[in-house]
Amino acid sequence: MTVIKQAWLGTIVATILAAFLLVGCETAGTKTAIGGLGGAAAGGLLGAALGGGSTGIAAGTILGGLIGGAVGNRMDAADQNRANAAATQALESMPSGQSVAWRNPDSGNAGAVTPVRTYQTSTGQYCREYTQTITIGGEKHQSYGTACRQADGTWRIVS
Amino acid sequence: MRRLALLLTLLVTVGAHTGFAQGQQPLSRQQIMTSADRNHDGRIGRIEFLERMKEGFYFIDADKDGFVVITEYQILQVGDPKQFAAADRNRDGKLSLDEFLKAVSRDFDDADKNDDGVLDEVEMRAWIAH
Repeated sequence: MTVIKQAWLGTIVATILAAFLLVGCETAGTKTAIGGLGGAAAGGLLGAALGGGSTGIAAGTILGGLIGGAVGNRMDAADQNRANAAATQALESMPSGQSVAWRNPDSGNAGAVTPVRTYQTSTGQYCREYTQTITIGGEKHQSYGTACRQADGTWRIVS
Repeated sequence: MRRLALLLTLLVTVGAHTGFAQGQQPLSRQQIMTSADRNHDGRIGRIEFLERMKEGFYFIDADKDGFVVITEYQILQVGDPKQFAAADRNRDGKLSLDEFLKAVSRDFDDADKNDDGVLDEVEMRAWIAH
């Protein structure tokens, strides 16, 4: 009986000590989350962005209607090319909130494309929501859309 | 204002310290805050954190196949292969976005010492340091 009691007492004491040690580690802020990537790596990811290095794609390759309707009709081919190139660069390489601007000195028209959100579809395809501003003849037009990256590196406007 | 300045300094320091290969560059101070701290309150909430991490995943997925493999992950020079392996729940040698977000969500929980759902500059500093 005494031996059994001593064994139980030992187990309880060991458990309490272990609990104190665990609490101590946590409050000291020295543990690493089990299954996490670690503070330094995750911190680096917060600042991750591309300055290049992704698979090469043709500048300005945007499939679908980046700019349609009345606004698109008032832009010439050079405007459209510059807008497409800016959109490709923004979607491919810019973090949300960072714009790529374009300007055509011949027509005086200008614009900018800004990613605002990045997500992945159920098939693993990357899509990015973006805002676009276009200034034609001094009039500013804004639009919002979504583009998804194709397997060949092009971006397709989906909405 | 002081809190914001400290957080900005920390994020820039971390981004610069980790470094990126092959022309990849850490964001500037303004870019980090614009892209992570969406409501501009000087703190990073869980949703802001995970949204930014989705972009981190997109940017380090160099071949854009929807998964991050160890060679891509090691662009972060502090990326630990053991932690990568632990995050790879199905042991297929690559991280899906879901596996990745589960892992960094644990990092967020670990960093959020006072369990208020946001990371302030003190929590960020302590978390990155250990």
